[in-house]
Amino acid sequence: MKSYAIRSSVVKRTFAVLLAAYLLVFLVLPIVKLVIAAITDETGQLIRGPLDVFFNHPLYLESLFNSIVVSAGAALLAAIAAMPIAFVLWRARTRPPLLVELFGFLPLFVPPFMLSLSLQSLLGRGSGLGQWLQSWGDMDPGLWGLPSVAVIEAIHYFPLVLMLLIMSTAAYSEQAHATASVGVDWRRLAIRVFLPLGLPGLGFGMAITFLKTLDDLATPLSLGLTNLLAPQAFFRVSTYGAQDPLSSLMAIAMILISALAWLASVVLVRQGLADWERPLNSPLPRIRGRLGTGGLCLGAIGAFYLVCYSGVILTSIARIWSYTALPESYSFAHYASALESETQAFANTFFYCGFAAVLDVAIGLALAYAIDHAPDRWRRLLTWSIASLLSVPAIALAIAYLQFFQGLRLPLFDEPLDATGFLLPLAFSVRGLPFAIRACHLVLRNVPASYIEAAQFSGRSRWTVARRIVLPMMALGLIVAFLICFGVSAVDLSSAMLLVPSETEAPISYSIYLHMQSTTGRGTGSALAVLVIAFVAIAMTGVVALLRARRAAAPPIRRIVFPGTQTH
Amino acid sequence: MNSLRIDVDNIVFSYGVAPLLRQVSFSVEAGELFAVLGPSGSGKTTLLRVIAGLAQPSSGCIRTGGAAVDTALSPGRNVGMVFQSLSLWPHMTVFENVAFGITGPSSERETEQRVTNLLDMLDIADTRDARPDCLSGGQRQRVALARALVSEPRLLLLDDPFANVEHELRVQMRHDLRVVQRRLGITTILVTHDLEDALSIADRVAVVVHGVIEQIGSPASIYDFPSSPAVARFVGVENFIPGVVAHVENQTVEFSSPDIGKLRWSVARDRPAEGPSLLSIRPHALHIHPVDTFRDGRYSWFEGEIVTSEFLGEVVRYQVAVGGILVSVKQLHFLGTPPTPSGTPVLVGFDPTHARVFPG
Amino acid sequence: MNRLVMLLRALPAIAAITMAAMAAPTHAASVVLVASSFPKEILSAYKRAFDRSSSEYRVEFVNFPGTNIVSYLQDRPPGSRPDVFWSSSPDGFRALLRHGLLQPAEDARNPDIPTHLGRIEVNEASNHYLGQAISGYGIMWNSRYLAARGIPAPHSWEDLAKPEYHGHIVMSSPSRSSTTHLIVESILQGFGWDEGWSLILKVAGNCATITERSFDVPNSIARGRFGLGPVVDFLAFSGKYSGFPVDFSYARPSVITPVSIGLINGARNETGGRAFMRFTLSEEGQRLLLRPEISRLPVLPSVYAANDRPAEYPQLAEVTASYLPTYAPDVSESRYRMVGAIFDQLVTFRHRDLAAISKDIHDIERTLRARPNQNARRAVVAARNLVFQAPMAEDDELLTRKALRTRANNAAISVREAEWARRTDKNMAEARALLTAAKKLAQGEQ
Repeated sequence: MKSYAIRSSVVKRTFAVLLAAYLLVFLVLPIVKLVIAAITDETGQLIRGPLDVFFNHPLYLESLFNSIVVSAGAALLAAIAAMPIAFVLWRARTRPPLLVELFGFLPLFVPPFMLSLSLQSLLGRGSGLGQWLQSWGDMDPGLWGLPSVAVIEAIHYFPLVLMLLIMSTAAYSEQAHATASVGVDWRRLAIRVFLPLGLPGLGFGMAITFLKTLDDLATPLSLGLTNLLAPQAFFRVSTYGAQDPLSSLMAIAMILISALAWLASVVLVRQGLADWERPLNSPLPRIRGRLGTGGLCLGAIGAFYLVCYSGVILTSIARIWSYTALPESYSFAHYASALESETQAFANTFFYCGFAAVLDVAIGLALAYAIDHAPDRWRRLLTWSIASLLSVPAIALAIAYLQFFQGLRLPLFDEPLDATGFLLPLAFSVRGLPFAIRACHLVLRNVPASYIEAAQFSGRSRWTVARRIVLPMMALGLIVAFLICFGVSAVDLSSAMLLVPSETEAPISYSIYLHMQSTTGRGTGSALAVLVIAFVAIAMTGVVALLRARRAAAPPIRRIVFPGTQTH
Repeated sequence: MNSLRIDVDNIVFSYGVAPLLRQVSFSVEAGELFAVLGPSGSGKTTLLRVIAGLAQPSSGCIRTGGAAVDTALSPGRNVGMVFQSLSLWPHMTVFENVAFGITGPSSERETEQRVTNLLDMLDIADTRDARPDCLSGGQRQRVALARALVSEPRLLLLDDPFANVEHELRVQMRHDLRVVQRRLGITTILVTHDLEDALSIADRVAVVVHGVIEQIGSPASIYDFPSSPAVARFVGVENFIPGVVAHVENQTVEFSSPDIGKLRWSVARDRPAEGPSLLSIRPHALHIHPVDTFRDGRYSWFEGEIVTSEFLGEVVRYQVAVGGILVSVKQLHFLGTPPTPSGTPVLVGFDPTHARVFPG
Repeated sequence: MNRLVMLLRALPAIAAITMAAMAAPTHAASVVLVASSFPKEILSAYKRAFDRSSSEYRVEFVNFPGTNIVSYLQDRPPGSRPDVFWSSSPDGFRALLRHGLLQPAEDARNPDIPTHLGRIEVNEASNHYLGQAISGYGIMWNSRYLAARGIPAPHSWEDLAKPEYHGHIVMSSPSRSSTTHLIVESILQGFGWDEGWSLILKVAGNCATITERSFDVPNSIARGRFGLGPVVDFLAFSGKYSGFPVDFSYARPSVITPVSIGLINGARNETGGRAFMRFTLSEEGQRLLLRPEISRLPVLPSVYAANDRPAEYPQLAEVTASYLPTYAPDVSESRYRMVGAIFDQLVTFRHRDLAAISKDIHDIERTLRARPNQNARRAVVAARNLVFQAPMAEDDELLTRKALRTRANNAAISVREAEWARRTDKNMAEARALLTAAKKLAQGEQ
C-alpha cells in the first residue's frame, strides 16, 4: 500500500513471475541439473561411477584438500597481516579519507592474476629484483608451489580485510582513547574491545578472500599450478566437455565448500551484528590533521602495493626487457596498441558487464522492493538466501550453465545458446546480484514513498512523476549500483574463461590474461592492466566526488559494500 | 475559495489480520480546521491516507460537498497534503518544488506569479532558489505547505507536520498555519499525536484510539469531559483509582476504594452507574495539605505519604502513596517555597465535581 | 559451432555484400570475405597490401578458429558463405574436405611454387587447398640467459633431457595447446611410443614449469624468466626480429605443417576469392610473410633470395630437412585426446614431484660419474624406469579407437586416468625410496 510505482497488481504479479522465472532458470535449475548429472546416467538411473572415480583419484582428492588449505591460508594470512595494522590505525585514531577507504575495495574490481604476473616480472629470473638478487636464490613465485597462491591472494585481498576491520572498529576509537587515558591497558582494549568489534568485518573479509581464492582460476594457472579444484574442473570441462559428471562433482564440491565457509562466516558475523550496524549506519566523526603513525602506516601500505605492481607498470612501458634488472628501452607504444587493438575487448566488456549490470540493477530493484514489502520472516529468508549467492563459485555456475543450456538454440538467430556468449552476462548477473540487492536497497531507501505521493498531489502524470521526481532521486544510487555490478562482473575471469566461446569475444580481463602470455603481447596486456586499474581508480574518485557533492552520502556507501551483513 | 464539506462514512481499513480502522465516521464542515488526535499506531495516519486517496478502504466511503465521491478523492484535483517527513524533493529548488504542483494550461509568468505570491504569503520568498537541505526546519515546513497549497486545493491534509520541530518554533508555526487557513478558508484536516497542537488551533477534535473514534468535540469539551479512560489518559488525566460505586440516597454517590477509603459526594444529574468503576482525577485537581489541616466539607479527603517530588518549574509534581497505589499530584510553585520533602505524611483533597467516574 | 557476436561482427560485411548485390551487380564482386584464425597483424598486413594491389576487390576478414568452421559453413546455404578459408590447422582443412565444403582452385596456383618442398607435399592432391606458408617446430632459447649460466644451446629434443637444462625449460601441455601436441606427437612417432614417452617425461622432468597456454612458452623465454623450450618457429622469430635476445633451432625429428588456403564450396564471390588466393601465393604476398611481426616461412623459394630478408632468416632446405617422413596424421588424430590425458596425468598435474625426482636423479648420476657404484647405479636405473615410462602400450584398445566425446568413452578414460594417477603416485614413491637408497650408497663410498 505504500507504493505508487507499482500499483496495479497485474504488473506486480508479472514482475514476481518474471523474477521467479529468472531465478529458477538461471540459478536453481542449472544447479539441480548439475547434481543430477553427477549422480545419474543417461537413463536417469542412479550411478556411483563418477563418485568412485573421484574418490579413487588421488589427484582429485589432493586438489580438494589443496583448495581448502590454500583458500583458508589466504584468508588467514590476510587476516594476520591486517589485524595489527588495523589496531595501530585504531590506536592512532586514523580514519582514512573516504577515497582511501574505497581503494580498500579495489581488490573486488581488479583480478588477482595481475598481481601474480606482476610479481613474476618483479621476482622472476629474467627481470627486476629477481634478476638483481639472483645469487640469493630463485624468487620466482611460479616456483614456490601452492603457497604462492595463498600469498598472492592474501596480498591481493589484504586491503579489503583491512578496510573492513577499520570500518567496523573506527566508531569506537575515540572512546577507546578516553578509556585508555584513565588507565586501561591497551592490551586489554585490544582483546576486549578491538577484537570483538572487528570480528564481523574480519569474518566478512576473510569469507570473501576464501571464496574468491577458491574460485580463482587465472592466478593458479598463471603460476603453473594445477592441483587445485578450480583448474582441475576447468581442465575437465575443456577436455571432456561440460557434460562430464566428474566436472559436475567438482563443481558441487566447490559449492559445498563455499557454502560451508559462508555459513561459518555468517555465524561469526552474526555474533556482533548489533555492534556492527550502528557504526556503519551512523556517520563517523572524521579526524583530521592527526596523520602521524596512521598516515605513515597507510603510506607504507601504498608504497608496498606500488612495488608489487611495478612489474606490470614497468612491463607496460618497456620495449625490450629480457634478462636485465630494468628494461633496456622504454616506450608508450604498448598503450597505443592496447587502445588501438583492444577496442573489441572493451566493447565486449561493455556489452557483457553492462548487460549484466543493467539486469542486476533491474532485478535488484525489484527484489529489494519485494524484500522491503515482505513479511518479516520472509524478509530475513530472502535476504540471507540472496546474500548466500555469494557462495556459488563462478566456475560451478559456469559449469552448471554449460550443462543446462547445452543444445538450446537461440530462436531468432538459430544459434546454440552456449555458443553466443549470452550465457556470460547472465552468469555475471547472478554473481552480481547480492551486491546489486544491497545497493538497490539503499536506492529505494533514498526515495521514500511519501516523496512520490507528494508528487501525485500535483496531478501530474505518472510518467512525469517518474521522470522528474523518481529518476533524479534514484540516479546517483543507480549509477553506484551499476558501477559496482559492472566492476564485480568485469573481474569475474573464472566465468569468462569457461563461458566465452572464443577469444575474440573475451571481455577485457580475459583479454589481458591472454595478452600476458604472448611474446609481444605482454607489454600490451600490461598496458591494458594499468589502464583498467587506472579506470577503476578514476571511477571511484568520480563516485567520491559525486558523493561529496551530495551531503550525508557517506554512510550509504558503507552499507552498499557489506552485502552480507544486513539485518533487514 | 469554495471549500468542501467532507463526510467520512463507516470507513473500515484492514491490512493483514487486525483492522487498522473500524467503522470510522465523521464530518468536517466547509472551512473548518478539524484535528484528528491519537497516539502513534492509533490509525490516524491511515485515516488521512484513505481520505487523501492514497489507500483504498476495505469498506465505507467518503463524500465531498454532499456528493458521493465513490470511495476516495483523487489526488491532485482537490486535495493538498503535507507529509510528516515533509518529503521535499532534494534535487529541486524551493521554487521548483512548489511550481511542480502547478498543472494545466498556465503560462510561465502565471506560474511565476502564483509561486511568488505563495512564497511571499508564507514569508519564504528569500529562499526561492535554495535547495531543501539548506533550509531551516521552519522554512522547510513552509515550503511543504506552499507546495500543498499551490494547486489551490479545496481540502488540505496535514500529517503531523510539526512532529519533528522544537517547541517554540512549533507554537509559532501552528499559529501561522491557523492564520493562513483562516485567510484561505480552506477545509483542513490535521492529524497529530500532540494534544497541544490539536487543542490550540482546531475548531473540532476527534480522538482516535485503536482505529476507533472515541470522541468528537470542541477542544474544551474533549479536555473537560473525556468520554472514556482512553481519551482521559490521552488528554492528561493521570490518576485512575479503582473502586466500587454505590448509589446512596438521592443524588448522592458513594465510591469505596480499598486504597483511599470511602468517598461521598452529591451529583445533580447523570449519576454514574453502580458497580466496579475507575475514579479519574487530573493531577492538578488534587491539593496537598499538612495532615492537621481543617478538612473542608466540600472536598473529599484522603491521607497519604509523599514518595517523590519533581520540580517542573511552574508546578511541582508529587507522587503520593495512598493505600497500595501511587497518586500523582501537581501543585503550583510559589516563589521561595521549597517542595515538601519525601516521607512527609500529607492530606490530599479534591473537588468531587472535578473527578469523573468510568465504569471499569 | 558459431557465435552470435562473431556473426554480428560479420553482419555489416554480409549486409554490405547483399545490398551491393541487389543494387548493382557490377559492384557485387568487390568484397572478398575470408575466414581465418590468424592474428590481427597478419590479416591487417594482407588487407592493406591486397586492397592496394587490386582495384576490383576489397578483402574483409571473419575471425575463425579452424575447429569451428565446419558447422559454421554447414549452417549457411551456398551463396551466403565466406569465400576463402585460410588457416594453419591441417585438421580443419581435412574436415572441410571430408564434408565437401571446398572446391578445387588449381587456377589460383602459382607455378613457381613447387609441389614438394623436400618431402613436404605443399598442396592437397586435387588442389582443394593450397600451401601458402610452412611452420616448423623446434627449440627456442634466450641467449643471455644461457650465456649467464654457461649453458650451451641445444640442438635436438634429446638435448633437452640433459641434466644441465634442469629447471630452465618451459613447455605447455598437449591437451591445452595444439602446437605442443604436434611436438609431442612428432616425438612419439619419431622415437617410437615407449622411447618417445620416456624422452618426453625426461624433458618434462627438466621443466621449471608447465604453462597453461602455449603462448606463455615463447613469452617467458623472451623475457628471460626461463631459458628454453619447444616452440613453433614463427613465434620465436617474431620475438627475435622484434629485438629480444632469443634464438631458435629446428630440432629433429619434427613436423612441418603447411599453412593452407582454400576456396569454399558455395562461396558468394568465387572469382574474388580466387584473386585473393592468387595474391597470397604471389611474390608480393609471399614476401609479406618475412615481416618481423609475422616471420613465417614462405613456400615460394625465390623469396628466400630476396634482399629485404632479415639476416639469419632460416633457409628452406634447413627447415624441410627436419621433416619427419613417416608422420601419420590419422594416428595422431585418433589418439589426440589420449596423448593429452596421459601427459596431464603424468606431467601437468604431478609436475613438481616429477621435477624433484628428476633433480635427484641428475644429482646422484653426477655423484656416480665421479665415484661409480654398481648398486647405486642399478637403483637409479630402476628409478628412471619407474618414472620415465609410458603408462600404456601403443596397441591399447583405447588408443586405436577414436575417443569421441561419448559418455561411455569419457567414463572409460576417466577410470583409466584415475588408474594412471594412482600408478604414477606409486611409481614416484618407489622411485623416491630407490633414490634415497642410491644416494646413501653413493655417499657411503665417500
